[in-house]
Amino acid sequence: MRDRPDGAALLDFARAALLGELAPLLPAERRQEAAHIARAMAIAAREAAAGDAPLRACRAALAELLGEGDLDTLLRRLAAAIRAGDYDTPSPQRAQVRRLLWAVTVQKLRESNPDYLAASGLDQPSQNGSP
Amino acid sequence: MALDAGATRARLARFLCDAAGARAVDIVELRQLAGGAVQENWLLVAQIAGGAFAGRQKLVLRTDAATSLSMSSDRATEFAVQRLVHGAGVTVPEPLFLCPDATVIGKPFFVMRWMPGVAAGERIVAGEIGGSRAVLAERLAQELAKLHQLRPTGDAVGGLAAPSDDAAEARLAPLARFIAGHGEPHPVAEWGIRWLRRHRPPPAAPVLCHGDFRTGNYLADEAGFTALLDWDFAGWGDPDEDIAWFCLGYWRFGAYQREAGGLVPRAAFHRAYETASGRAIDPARARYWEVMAALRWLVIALEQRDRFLKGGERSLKLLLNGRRPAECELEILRLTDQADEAA
Repeated sequence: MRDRPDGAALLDFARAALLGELAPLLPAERRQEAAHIARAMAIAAREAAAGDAPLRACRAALAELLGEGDLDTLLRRLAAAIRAGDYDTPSPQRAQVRRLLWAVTVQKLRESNPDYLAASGLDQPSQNGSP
Repeated sequence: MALDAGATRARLARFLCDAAGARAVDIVELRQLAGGAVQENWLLVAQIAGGAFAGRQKLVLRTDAATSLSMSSDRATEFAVQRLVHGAGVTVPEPLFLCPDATVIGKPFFVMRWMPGVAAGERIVAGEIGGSRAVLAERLAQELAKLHQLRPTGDAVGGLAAPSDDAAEARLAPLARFIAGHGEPHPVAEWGIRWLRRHRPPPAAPVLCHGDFRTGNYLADEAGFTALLDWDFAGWGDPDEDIAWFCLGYWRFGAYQREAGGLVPRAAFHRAYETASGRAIDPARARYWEVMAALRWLVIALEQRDRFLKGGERSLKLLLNGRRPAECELEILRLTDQADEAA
């Protein structure tokens, strides 16, 4: 069992206290460090909330293109194929790879920097994962 | 090495005395300034008796930090570049004295005039300092245009690598090598590398480029721009690379909609540069170099992350940069899609 509050609530409040109450008391040249700490906490919180679902979805999409394997193996296979020029010229495979790369990138940004995604007008990706 | 330790301080005072042709030099203040992951900057206030620099001089001493980057030049080269651009009318702190040997403070350094202002990008972009962002951006475009008038034929600098026949290939080759040999898969970076290889524009006539022209590398005070800093990445290259680097997402300090340095939209900066330089910017070339900029920053972010994960350097800032590549990947995908649609 766990007592309340849960980790997400703790992180959320701790982050708000750091930014809202502690950071303004710091000298101007050190406020950026508080922002860095808050950023690290926010990424960790979003990652915990997302769980393993994004990684499973990514692996499944890769497997559809490249056959079975674990996530790391499939990513290496994809990187090597792109480097070898396998997707240089227009083809259904190239279009599929492009959609996959978009989907993976958008998923990473949802955790790492959703503001960047929103500013790019991509916070609501379309169903095929490309804008 | 602590510069302010007694013996070092005394050797530094003797060096300044000789270099300034003075009778005596008293170091009144010596303290390290904030920032500078690659180079250290020290405020140096000296009371100088006799010679051309007689009086109280507010100076900055610049030297290597503990971690040096392979792509960064040595202090003698940086000093020479800064001398050249200062002479050409680019607004930089005037470089005064170079000490290329390590016997004085333990490593080479040079001394330049102190300039007012702060470099903190997040404060400039937020409008806390620097005055009107539009005026600041226009001034930066003018400074850049002035810099880009310098040519390898008339303005040779010892220490700088000879201009490459193809600036794009020269930039791309080491980035591609890094990604291929990194030991982790980076499929979007590979996608960008393929695209950059297959869409290389015809080489431009080389000009002197800053190499790290961006918000965070110039000083601004309440009134506006005061000086361009950090010349350790300068070299002969394609002027569009400096323009593209200035527009990289990371240098917008959160103001993502103002593409040019977090100050103004990209188009406004391009116009200001075109007016100042008399050279029209080809949007396709600018975009090509923005893809390159995204790839370059992606590699730098991985290198910085590795300094923590593999090198044991304990810095949250370095560690956080491990989560930055996704931003570059988004730009690589978006820009290459745009270009393919335009083709």
